[in-house]
Amino acid sequence: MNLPRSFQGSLIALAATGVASAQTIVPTVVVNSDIAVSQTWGPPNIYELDGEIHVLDGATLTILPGTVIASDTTVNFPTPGSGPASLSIDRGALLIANGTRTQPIVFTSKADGTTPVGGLSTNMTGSYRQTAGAEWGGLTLHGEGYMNTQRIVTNTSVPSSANYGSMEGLLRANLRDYGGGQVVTAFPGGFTSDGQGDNDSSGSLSYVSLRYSGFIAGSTVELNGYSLGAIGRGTSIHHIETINSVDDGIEIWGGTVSLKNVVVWSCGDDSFDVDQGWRGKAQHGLMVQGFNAAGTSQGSGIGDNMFETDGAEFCHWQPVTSSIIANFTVVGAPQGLVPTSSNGGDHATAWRDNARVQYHNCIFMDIGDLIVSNEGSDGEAGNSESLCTTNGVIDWPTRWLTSSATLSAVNPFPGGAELTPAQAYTAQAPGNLIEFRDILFFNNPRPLAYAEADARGVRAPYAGNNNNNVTTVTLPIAARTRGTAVTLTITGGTIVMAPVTFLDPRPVTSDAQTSVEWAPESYGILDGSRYRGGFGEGNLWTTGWAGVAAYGLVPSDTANVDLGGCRPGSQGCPQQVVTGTWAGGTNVTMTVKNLEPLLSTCFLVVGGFQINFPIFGGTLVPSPDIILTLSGVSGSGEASITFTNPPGFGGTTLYSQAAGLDFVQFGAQWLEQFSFSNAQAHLQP
Amino acid sequence: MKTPTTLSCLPLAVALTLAAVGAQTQPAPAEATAGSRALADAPLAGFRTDLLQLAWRAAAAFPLDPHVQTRSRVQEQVVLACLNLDQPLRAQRWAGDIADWRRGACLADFAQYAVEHGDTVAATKALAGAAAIAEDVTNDPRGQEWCRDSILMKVARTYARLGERAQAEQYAARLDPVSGLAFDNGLAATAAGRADLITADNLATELAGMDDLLVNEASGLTWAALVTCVRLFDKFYADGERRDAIERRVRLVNTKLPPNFKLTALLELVRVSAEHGDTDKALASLRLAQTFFAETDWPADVRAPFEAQIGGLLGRIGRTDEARLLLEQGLASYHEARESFRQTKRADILRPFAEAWHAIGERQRANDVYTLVVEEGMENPNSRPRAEDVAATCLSMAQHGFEPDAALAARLREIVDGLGEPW
Repeated sequence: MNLPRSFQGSLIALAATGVASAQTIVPTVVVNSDIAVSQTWGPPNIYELDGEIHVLDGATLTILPGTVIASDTTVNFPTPGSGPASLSIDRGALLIANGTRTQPIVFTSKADGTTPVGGLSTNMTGSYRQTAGAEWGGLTLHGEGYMNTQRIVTNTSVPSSANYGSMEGLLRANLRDYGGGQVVTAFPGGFTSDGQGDNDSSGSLSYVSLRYSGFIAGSTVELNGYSLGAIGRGTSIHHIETINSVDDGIEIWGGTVSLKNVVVWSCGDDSFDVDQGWRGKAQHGLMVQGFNAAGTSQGSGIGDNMFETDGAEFCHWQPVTSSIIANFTVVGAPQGLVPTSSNGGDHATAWRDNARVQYHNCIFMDIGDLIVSNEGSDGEAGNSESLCTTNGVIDWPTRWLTSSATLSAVNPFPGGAELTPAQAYTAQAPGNLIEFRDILFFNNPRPLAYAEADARGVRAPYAGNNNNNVTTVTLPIAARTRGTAVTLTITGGTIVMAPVTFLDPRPVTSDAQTSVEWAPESYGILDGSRYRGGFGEGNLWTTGWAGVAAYGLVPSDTANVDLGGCRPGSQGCPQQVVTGTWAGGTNVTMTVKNLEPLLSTCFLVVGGFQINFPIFGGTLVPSPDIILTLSGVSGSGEASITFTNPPGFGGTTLYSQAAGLDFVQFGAQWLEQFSFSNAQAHLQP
Repeated sequence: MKTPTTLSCLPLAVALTLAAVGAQTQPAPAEATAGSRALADAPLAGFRTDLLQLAWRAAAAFPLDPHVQTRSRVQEQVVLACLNLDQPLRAQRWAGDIADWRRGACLADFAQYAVEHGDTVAATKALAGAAAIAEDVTNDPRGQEWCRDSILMKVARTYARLGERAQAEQYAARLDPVSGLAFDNGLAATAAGRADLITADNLATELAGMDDLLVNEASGLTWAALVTCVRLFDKFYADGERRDAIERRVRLVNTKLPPNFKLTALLELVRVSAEHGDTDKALASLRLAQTFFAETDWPADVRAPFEAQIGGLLGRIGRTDEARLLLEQGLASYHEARESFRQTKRADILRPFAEAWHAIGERQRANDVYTLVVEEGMENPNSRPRAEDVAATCLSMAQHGFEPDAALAARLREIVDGLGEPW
């Protein structure tokens, strides 16, 4: 039963003695039992998770835009003191948590009194608490996709939909499982529907911010910002952030779910940690390393690796992680600020247990340790890279040179009622199993930071598929400010880190603004963005909903907010870059880049509503109230127009998107059709 | 980045289908009007029609927001059941009411049915509709390529079946270059066609070609080879020497293959022998399968449906008492392990027992177990799993030809009528 508080209210100021006043959030609804019956949460209520709360098999929890869930570590369910508050979406349950660009859904702690509640204006306030973390548990989702781990004794090394895992960090043993969709073996005959498994849906999350989460019950027994166990590709996750998780920002075990528009800020372990055969995609990310719980250890409050990629728990088991990461801006904690080898964060990418990941169009900067760290395995007894190679697994150097179409022949997917290997591994783009393409490196000062990367040819020109990677000496993003270096005491020593206090991730140099190639296209998930890093020129998709924008850690630009929705043409995604404040009577310049060179006409559509209308093979986001013609696309594929914004439209939001007759790719074919730029929202002051 | 259209990206299943078509009589491209035979729904017992309608009502009861995915998946299951029961017009009509990409997949399946039953006009029209929906999915900002490609793959495969190779190639070429590789799930289906092409003269060579797959591999090709062997077992049943050579391969299949695949194939051999009226052979094969079943450590939720299947086969070959005993033991095991099964999976685990009781002619017992299945499906307080379960149970009865008694029929209607909040 959910008990209403005896009083209403959102923020109650508490007087503090001798220190600056602190604030706490006072929830109005206490959730102190599992959710067996579907229900909806929404504002103005503020919800508190008073235990390890599970949305049980068959139930749907819908959370409306603008809802705040504020919890702590002192809970009463199922028994008093039984671990931190957390929300678990069990197998067969659904979470529908779709906030909006101006009304995000916020999971945070009751101590987070400065978390804004409500619309855009109030979301722009608040202050960030650098050392806060582990103030509540986290969000876990449990799906039915394929995964594998030898930790469950009945699991088989060959993938089976009967194989399952147990979510770490949760204390209720009977409700922790993920994977293990029931085996249905059928002899082929007649017409049959495809099963769920990798196509399973655990719901939909968008415009969700998770702050100050995490729980460490022991080594590898931790809750993260959010944890995704065997989540299927039917699940939609985009515009989601985690701030100051005491453990990983994101941890994914198996499954095929993809992520888009992801923020991880100052988590206490790995920013993006995958294991047990994740076969999804991720695009447009901002990950900034730091610390949040001084005095613990690296991996439990102090940032560790940016990407930690385990292929499988045992490296010769399947499924094995085979994924693609595109357009991430990755900002580490460099040791260069304090020149001792124990300082700063760890690696940009750590590799274990036969992992296969393709990195495209990313920025890796300020990394504390190595760009590529081949760690072989994560230390399970009876498991090692050499043993796996003996078992027939493709070894580390060869994976860099092997086509992504080459699927592992050791313990392969069996087909039949299960998947075939080709059905199971669909995420990677044509290329090699491991590759770095169109990557920008900046300020990675550790001696030998590039040693393993260079041994694999990452920075060699046109070596295999490690193409078009550049190392710059100029800051590739608009701004990055670090605070005073802090000495963090850990067991057996100290770590010095200087946290990022402000960062404008928009690209400012040509190497970041443009790239030779563009991110692979698989519409709905990966667009063909033709730049390096998570943000296009002049586009801040964090504005309005993300805590890092609310806290002022990244700037906000309500005049020009990226809405995505592009359809690539022959030069990748056309990119809309708009400058100007849209104040009445002031000039606005709208430029479209990456068009088909010398294209005769480009149309710029401006409207008063966001309609997301499929048209001409693309997605028209605005209502077509005004259509401006941009003639004379240059040889570099650019066109622009400058006009004076008429006065008298204060407070109105306009939407814009460009379209041009271009060549659009359908599979292996190129057809003459319209390409579309990203759309933008413009709030007129 | 521009690359010409080539055949190199043709997914394997389509390539195999094309090869099979080419190796046969290479039929002329279908004429839109000439030689086409209009489809019609086959006569169907009233109770089976009622069950299909109940299943459809349950599927259509889901609110679109936020349950469009589940709703469409369950609706697709009803449409496919209609095709399996030779109700193509009903299938076509209901397919048109599906709200997401599965409408296109169902239209493509309908087209496949139409081709197989000689209505090339309906097939061509449905294929155009399916292709248009694939385009809509492409334009949907929430769409993903695997949904589009699920449709396009079926469209390509059906065009290949029509003998329209150019069209098949065109749609196959539109598949995502990477995900297109995934759609070789037609392998097992095309194995049937492959078996048709194997003659007594080339059987030994073909079997030798499959030996490595069967003995050393554990992949989708292994499963396809197993399916081919079972089809050949049926085809050469009267030829004891060849039949035994085929059967040996099924028995020796690689132990790396998950055991449920081998057991499924072994049980299929039993079914084929029974269909040929060879009770002794069927029983001998069933004993081998039972030995393999007993020697394997199964998760309880996998074990139970196999117990039901074995029971049904025992009854089919006249070992009714033994079948009863096994089914009762299986049910007892189900009840013992019930609490360990996920609540929303219990009806799925139990339903094969009802089907097995029906298969051995124990009508009342089947009705009792179906009643239990229905009530297991009602344990969850939410309409989403309830609707999934009641639709699946109605489809099970309709497809197996089981007529529920008045009380059970009334209960099914009551459940469907009661679907609503909370979902």
